[in-house]
Amino acid sequence: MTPERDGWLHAAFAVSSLACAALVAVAVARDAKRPAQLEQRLVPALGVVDRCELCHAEPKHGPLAASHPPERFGCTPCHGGQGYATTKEAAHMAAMDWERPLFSRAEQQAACGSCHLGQRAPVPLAAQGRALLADKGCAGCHGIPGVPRPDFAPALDGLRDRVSPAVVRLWLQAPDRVDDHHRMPRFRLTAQESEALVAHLWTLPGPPLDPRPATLQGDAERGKRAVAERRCATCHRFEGRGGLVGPDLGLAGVKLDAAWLWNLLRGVHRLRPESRMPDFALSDQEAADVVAYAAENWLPDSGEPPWLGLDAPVQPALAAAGKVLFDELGCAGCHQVAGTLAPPAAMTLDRLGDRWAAELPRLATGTALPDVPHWIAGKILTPHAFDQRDAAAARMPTAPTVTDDEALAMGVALASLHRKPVPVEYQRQHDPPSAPLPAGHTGRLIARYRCLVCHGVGGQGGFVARIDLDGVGSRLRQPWLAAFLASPVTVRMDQAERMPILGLAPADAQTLAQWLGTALGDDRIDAAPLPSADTATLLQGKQCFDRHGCGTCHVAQGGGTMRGPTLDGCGVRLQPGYVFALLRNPAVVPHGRHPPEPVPERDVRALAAWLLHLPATPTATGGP
Amino acid sequence: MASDRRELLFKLGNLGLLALGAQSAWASFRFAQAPVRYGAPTRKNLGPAERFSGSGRTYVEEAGLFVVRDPAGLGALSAVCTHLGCNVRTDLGGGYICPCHGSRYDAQGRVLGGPAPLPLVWVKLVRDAKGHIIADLAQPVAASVRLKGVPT
Amino acid sequence: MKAWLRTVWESVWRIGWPKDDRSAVKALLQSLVLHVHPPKVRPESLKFRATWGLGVLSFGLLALLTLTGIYLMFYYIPHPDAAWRSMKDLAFVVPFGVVTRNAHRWAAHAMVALVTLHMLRVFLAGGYKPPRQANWVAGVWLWFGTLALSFTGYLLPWDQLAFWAVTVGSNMAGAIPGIGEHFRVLILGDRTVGEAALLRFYVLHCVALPAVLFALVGFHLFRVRKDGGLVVSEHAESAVKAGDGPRLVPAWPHLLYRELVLSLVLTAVLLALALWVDAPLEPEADPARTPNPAKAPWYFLGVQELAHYSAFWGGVFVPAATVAALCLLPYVDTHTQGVGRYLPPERRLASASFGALLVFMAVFTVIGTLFRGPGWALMWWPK
Repeated sequence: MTPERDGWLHAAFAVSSLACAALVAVAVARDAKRPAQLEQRLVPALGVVDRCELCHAEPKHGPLAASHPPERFGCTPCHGGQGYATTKEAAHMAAMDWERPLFSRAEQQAACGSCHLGQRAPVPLAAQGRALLADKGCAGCHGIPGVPRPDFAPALDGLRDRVSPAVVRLWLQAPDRVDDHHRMPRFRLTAQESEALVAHLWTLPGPPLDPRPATLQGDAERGKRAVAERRCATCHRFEGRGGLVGPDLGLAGVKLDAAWLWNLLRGVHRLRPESRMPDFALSDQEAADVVAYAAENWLPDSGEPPWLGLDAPVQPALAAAGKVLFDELGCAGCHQVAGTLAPPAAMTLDRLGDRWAAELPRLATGTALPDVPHWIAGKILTPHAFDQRDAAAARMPTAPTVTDDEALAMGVALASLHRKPVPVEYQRQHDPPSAPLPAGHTGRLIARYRCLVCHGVGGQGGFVARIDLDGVGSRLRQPWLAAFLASPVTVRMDQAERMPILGLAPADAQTLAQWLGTALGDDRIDAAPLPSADTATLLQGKQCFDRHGCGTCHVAQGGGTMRGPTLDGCGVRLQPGYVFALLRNPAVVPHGRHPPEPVPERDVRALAAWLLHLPATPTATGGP
Repeated sequence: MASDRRELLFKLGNLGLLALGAQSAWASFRFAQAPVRYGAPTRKNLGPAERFSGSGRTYVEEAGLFVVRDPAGLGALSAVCTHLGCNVRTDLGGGYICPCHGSRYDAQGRVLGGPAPLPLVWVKLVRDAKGHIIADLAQPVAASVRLKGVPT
Repeated sequence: MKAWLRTVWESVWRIGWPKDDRSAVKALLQSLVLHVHPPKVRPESLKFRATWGLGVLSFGLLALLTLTGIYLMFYYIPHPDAAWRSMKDLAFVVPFGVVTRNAHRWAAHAMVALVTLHMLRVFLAGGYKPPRQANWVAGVWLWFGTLALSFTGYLLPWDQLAFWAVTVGSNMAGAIPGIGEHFRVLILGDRTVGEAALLRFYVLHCVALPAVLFALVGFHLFRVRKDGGLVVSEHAESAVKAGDGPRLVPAWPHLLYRELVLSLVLTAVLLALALWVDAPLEPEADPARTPNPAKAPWYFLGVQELAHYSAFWGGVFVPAATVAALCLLPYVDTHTQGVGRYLPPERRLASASFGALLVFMAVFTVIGTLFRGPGWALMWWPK
């Protein structure tokens, strides 16, 4: 055979073959460093393949370990990181293909929140954030699972009958000068844009107004009395104080159209079907009195309204442009028009938890935010501070009065939402299911008097009264409830909010009292007969009252303080079973301000008998 | 001289090929042994203890074993025939019979006949915090071992 | 005993290690595998510049891809729930898993490049001229098959890169007038990339396309031999015929040794790459999250760039016309002056037009790969 003569060919053969052998040797050496055993935890339901225990052989288990066993939850669903990884670096850090390094504290709470649902979830930031998302009206523009559409913004039908264009102009430019507790976010509108919006709003018709008889004269003095009796201040602010449920009435004398206000007071739901105000149905005369009172008293301090100089005529030519802007901004997501809310105008926020910090837009300054909850918080606080070409996203308004901590809580709440929710067996709903409300006549009464605006029932409503109605049927006697509804008396002197005089007919009061008495019971309270009152028992009861220091908070027979409800005549108000129950177990008292400790069993009967037989005194029945 | 050098280089090259082949064979062997396992875990939750409150034998299909209750307590007998791995069935006499090749076992799992080489395997039972019975298929125990204190 | 072992050995390998040229030729002809080589070759065909080793390297890559591919198949599960997890297992649990996957990935990219260069080399030397027309067409289909294999393999890791590259690529196929949508549904098995597409691509990548490719490679190599080996210049051809050129040399050992060395160099380079450069893996495929921009594999980015201007003209017409032109070329350009030399003056037009086509595609590929950012907008600084 002719031998191969090229020397370089032999050299190349030797070098390349030895190089191959050496390179495979490198791979073999790398493989030798691999751990001999593989510890992995599989939770197929959560898609968990966690090899954390390769290094963390004895995981430091916190207080939650007992309720979150790793066999059921794995490690990464709560802690983040890459469960597949078998090296420290790959398990803990972000990599090209792994955008979720170990969770920050905020991300951890978001992770808790993806199983623990509801505003009462034991996850502080997520729970607070969910309440804030509802309170700030975020669901007006964004579909957010579990967050209701806002119901506090006024409908815009007939706005032109209500206020002057000058008020609306000022509202769009600087709403806090009209109402310093306003909840509408700031849209950063130009003067041209707000003018177009005003033009569009002035095309929206409202219900026709009834003409006010020319002979009807309002009396401001009587009006003042009506305002006090109806307890308008429970919801509205005027003369420097009042509640936050309704709009500020401090400027109502110059802000609201008098004819419209007179119509409104006679039947609020005809003009404003969405309003949260109970239907007081004032008579023509009463309404005229309140209008007269408003015109004299609810005026700006300086005499000049803040919208002075903004009263140019509306330019109807801009209405078409205003309509486009109105739809683009999604105004009708919060404000009803023609009785309905528009579908949310901005993107649905049901999967922010799937996003990675690295893929989210940076701040215009080039700074990246550390994690998804902080990114959302940044977006809420300064929506326009991001480098984005998307004009629609840059339209996001700034929420009024949101602190950094509140924004982070909302970020956590939103980051707890995923496109694919956790399996049902891992979900834990912490909010009580909403109780069905009665239909028919009782339901119409509840709607007409807007009971659930102030009082909560089954977790719905309850913006004013500290006491939910749940369980009230086991605590209070129906006859007293009916009398109270028809003509409310003050039971708790320590509360600023007072039940308004709604002007209920006795039959209607009876109906509502029946509903409260039968539908809203408390399983912890058993009915009991009125204990008999022999002299010895009453004497012992009185001694118990003194011995247990009840007078520290309660007034009875002229002694004591008014921190708690007055006890004279409480047998008329309270069911005997409730008194027994609360003496034995103070936790049945609904609002958390209950007696500090139970009364010893031997004293319960006597004390209950004495309390339930206390005679009523005039001080316990008069109004404020 | 040049021819000697060529010879040497050729030998070196062949040596490299040999090393490459040997290491590749080793690497293939290692490659095939990767512990990539997503099979069912060996610990099986058999459900609450009440499920086995009646006397006699209960077949737990998802775990492939018989839970046997006798006066001493609860035991678990693997249903996997020791011959070729079919699942055995109960026979009328209180023993077990394999449908594939007719191996027969008595109530204790001992071989009575047929091709089976070994008795059926008893596995360990424990109770978890919730009172559920957990069987560990990877932990064989003696035929006499019973989980005690399970309410009947 | 020794004699008995020798009997066994000789029953397999009938001729011992060749002792002279004559037995070397015999050995070659006796062997099933080796006799794709001619028993004797022209010395000038053995020079590196005659081939640049491109054909052997392409074949070597195919062999390495087959080998690494078979290894990968042991751990790969072609289902959307498990495919990406398989990548993670190869990365973290399987011994030599990372190296195997890296080698497979880099070999695939290299094969697309080397097969293309091989075609260029053959074109420049006029290797498609009579009598080699059919083998050129086979080569064009091998090139096409290489692209198809690479494209189908691209989906299998089931990461974002794979998912969106294949979504874009298959939508380009959808732009074929009339049958486009049907064709797209045919290859995806569904209207979008999903479980069915993954299974189809897997079967195509691991079974159907390799089978076709191996058959074509067999034909290709067989025809190289039957068509008279490498194309040589007329001068050398006539010299050989006249009998006054250099003498032919036996393929064993001269050709085989070179092929062995070249394969070893290739293996070494690939191993080095696989050991120190990791194949990309992006987050798991998520149909709800489109990366911006969503790009096809690099060798299709020229076409994607063209498709940016017009889905039909750029995405369908130009590629189809290119393949058609390549197949028709040997039957149109038939004169044989200047073959066997690179850039001969007789073939200026052919060289220039092929060069222009290549530069055209290269420019658009570079633009598509490096200079296109989010929204397919031009960006002047490649990231």
